[in-house]
Amino acid sequence: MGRYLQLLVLFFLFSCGKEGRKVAEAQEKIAFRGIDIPHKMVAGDSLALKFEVDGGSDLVLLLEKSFGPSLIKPTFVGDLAVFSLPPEMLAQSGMYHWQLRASSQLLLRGHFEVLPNIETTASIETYFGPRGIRAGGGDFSMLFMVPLDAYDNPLPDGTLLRVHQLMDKGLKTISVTTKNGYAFQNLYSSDKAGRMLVNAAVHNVRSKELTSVVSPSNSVDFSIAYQRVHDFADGNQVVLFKTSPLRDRYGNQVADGTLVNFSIVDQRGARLKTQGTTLAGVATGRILHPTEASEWKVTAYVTGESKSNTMDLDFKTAVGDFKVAFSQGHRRAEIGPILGFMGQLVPDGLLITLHIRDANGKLIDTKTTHTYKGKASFDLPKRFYPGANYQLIFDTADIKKEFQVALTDNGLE
Amino acid sequence: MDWNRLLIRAVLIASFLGMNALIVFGISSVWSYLNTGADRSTRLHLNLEEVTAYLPKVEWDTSKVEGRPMEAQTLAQIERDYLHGWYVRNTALFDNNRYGIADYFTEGARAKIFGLLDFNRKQNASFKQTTLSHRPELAFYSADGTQVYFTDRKVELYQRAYENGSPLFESVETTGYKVIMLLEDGFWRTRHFTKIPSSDKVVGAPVRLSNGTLGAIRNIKGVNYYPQDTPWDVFGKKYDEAIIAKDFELIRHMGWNTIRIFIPYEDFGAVHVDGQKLAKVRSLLDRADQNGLKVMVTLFDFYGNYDVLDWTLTHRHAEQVVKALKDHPALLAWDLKNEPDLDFGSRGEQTVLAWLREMNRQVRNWDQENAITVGWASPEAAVHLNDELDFVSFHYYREVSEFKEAYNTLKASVAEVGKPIVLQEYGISSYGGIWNAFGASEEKQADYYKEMQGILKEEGLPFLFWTLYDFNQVPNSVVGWRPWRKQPQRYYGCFDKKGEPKAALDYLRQTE
Repeated sequence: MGRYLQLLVLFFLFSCGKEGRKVAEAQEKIAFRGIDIPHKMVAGDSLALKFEVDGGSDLVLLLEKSFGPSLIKPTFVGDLAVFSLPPEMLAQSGMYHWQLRASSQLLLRGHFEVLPNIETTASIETYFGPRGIRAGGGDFSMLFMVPLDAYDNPLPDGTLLRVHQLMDKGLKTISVTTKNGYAFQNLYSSDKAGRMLVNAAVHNVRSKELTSVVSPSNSVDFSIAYQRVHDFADGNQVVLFKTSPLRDRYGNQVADGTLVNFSIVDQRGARLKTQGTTLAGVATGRILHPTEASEWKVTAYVTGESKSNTMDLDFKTAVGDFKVAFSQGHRRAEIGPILGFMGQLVPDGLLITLHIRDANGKLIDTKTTHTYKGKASFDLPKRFYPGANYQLIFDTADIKKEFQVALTDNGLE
Repeated sequence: MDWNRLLIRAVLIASFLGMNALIVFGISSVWSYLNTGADRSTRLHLNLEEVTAYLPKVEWDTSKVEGRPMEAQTLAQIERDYLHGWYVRNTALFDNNRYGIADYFTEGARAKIFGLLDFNRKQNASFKQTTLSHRPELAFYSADGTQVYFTDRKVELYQRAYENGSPLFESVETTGYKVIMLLEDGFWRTRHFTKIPSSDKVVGAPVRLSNGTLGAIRNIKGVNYYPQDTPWDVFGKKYDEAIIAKDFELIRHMGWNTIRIFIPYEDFGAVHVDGQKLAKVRSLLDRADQNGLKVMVTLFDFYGNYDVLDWTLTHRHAEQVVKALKDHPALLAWDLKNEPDLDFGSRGEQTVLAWLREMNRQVRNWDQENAITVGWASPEAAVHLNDELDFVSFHYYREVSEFKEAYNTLKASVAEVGKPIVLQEYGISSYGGIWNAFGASEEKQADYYKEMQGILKEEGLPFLFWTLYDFNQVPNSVVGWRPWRKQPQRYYGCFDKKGEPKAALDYLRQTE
């Protein structure tokens, strides 16, 4: 009976106590009481959980913290079972659930919370990205921050963080507060290309410097010009296209290396293309003069972004009249010397085309050759062109000369 | 002929060849050693082989994400790595070994886990734990896609504590975590992991089965069914709907109203349940329905692990099967496991019971209509879990004379919870060949049933006898290869191999 009373008293005490919830279905009669078990503590403290336990054996405390459980054995101080938790056991913030068990029978369970130790604020974890953004205020880098105490715990929600941002030579400070242990801040670009430097601070702890490169925004339309030595279509000189400095709409020069395509349409609708990359905003493209009189329309594009005006560019023919002499029964045609725009021999390599048609005007063959020292020749061997009447049309630099010839069989073999 | 010289020559040549072989082997070993482990292709962890080891139920809430919208593919990667993190931590807690931790936790987090493992090792404490479900709420995904924060809520955590390798106790907890993960060289690694106040476990209202279901259970007069040609492999390649239909018609004609079938765990694809086999089960249920038969489906046949680390995989298996079949009109009950008490010795009673208890809870979660039971191998074992299961099932293959006493003991212990009891398997072999010293025969089988059916009628005990047919083949996986075990197993039927009725049928058939 005395034992029964004692149990009742302890039970009463327990139910008035601050802590713990009784769960044990007393398979074995064990009286127990938790003594002064705190609800909250700070990382780095130590704790001794004390219980008055009467009866029962093999006491063990299951302590379940964030990363997993542990078992702790008691020491006995008088009537008290004391479970000592050293500071390193309680270094991590968060909830700790415990269960007091006596040889697998659950006596008591409860929990306490370990709070981050604000006084030992040690560092601030910062992650910054993307590290390359575009000017114009529509794009941003995000700064993600986790302020930490000395035990690597995120500081409590509502911790004030200061973000310093240096951009366009101006320094800005932004305040943010943490939620769920972290805070983030979107840092938008300005209209000016350059670099954004940021750091974050909590209490007196600062992060290192973080950088994001603000590159110019999309280029806007631009103009082009050309340079050439002369306006003759000699197929020998190079014409140079040059853009005006490419800028975005905020006046930032586009990044070096921006690709510019120069697209040319000639009088026949044929398309030619050259390209260049920008250096200090200016792109240059080069292309060989045409070999015949041409009328070019040139437009430059930065693909997907901008284009230039369309520029007209005309070339005059570089070749005057030319002579054609036949020999060996018309089986050899010698052309030239062909003279250029100032009476010089045309440069080597000028294209000459010969169209050969039969007496009915049906195209039989097209032969090409190039000038060398102002001259060129075609051979019409018997094997390919049996004796008959042919129409020969010579064409160079869009100048055509036509001949009706009778090829004999005793000529060139 | 100088034999000595020849001998010396032979020894010399042999040792020369041997020496060369050894040198070549040595060089090649060194060469292959130096060439492993540093393949460029492995640097980005692109070719990791997926091993399905951990599949708790995960339901993401991505409706309130700050920073940037989440992509489905990234979310899948985060989930994979987060669960892998749980898995390596669970295994580490069991053997206090650091293996794998570094892959799924950042340096800072690792240090905390290692501290915990070292402490537990010193205490000789270890834990088997698994989570059963997660409800992560994604709250933040960074603009550059390398950091996430989510609150993992309602994490159901099951733990079993061991000291010096022997189990101490188990504990179940519903808890939550605040998680910050970082993308580091191809892995999403946990950086911060903070336990939060646990949300109370959601306890649904206890399920009350309909009177129709309970009535059907109390009225079971049935048979454990295997087709004659494909025993223990009903849903294999030889599945034939026509045979099933014919058998079911026969069963109906005999006046039986229920059959019990088996779904083998591995054979059905374990974690990835084979849809074709499920379709065959459905077709069998259709046939049963056409013949007015109810079906008791036994899950996890030939499964025997029960390990805590295996729980989530078996849950996913059961989920697929239960969800696919639960609405079928022919379905009467789920039998979670056939004769699990036979595994008490090899796997530990506590382990097996914990698995069953959790499986019951899971199945109840998906199916509130059909009854759940466990087919215990003996009336003595059937007292387990009887306050949790919907009805009590036991098997009886011992002497008829002892049946009443065993049954009455069970009845007394179940009386408190007032649940139906079903004799789920019983029967006797009529095999009288050289492997049976006791000389069983069809007559003795008939006598057995005569007596048994009398008792069952008297007690009003629902029954499912073993079995319909004598079989031509019994796989080794059932009772082993020993002929004195295997042969009798072939003659438990009430129809012989030719499909002719045996004497026992007179007592089993419920129609005149």
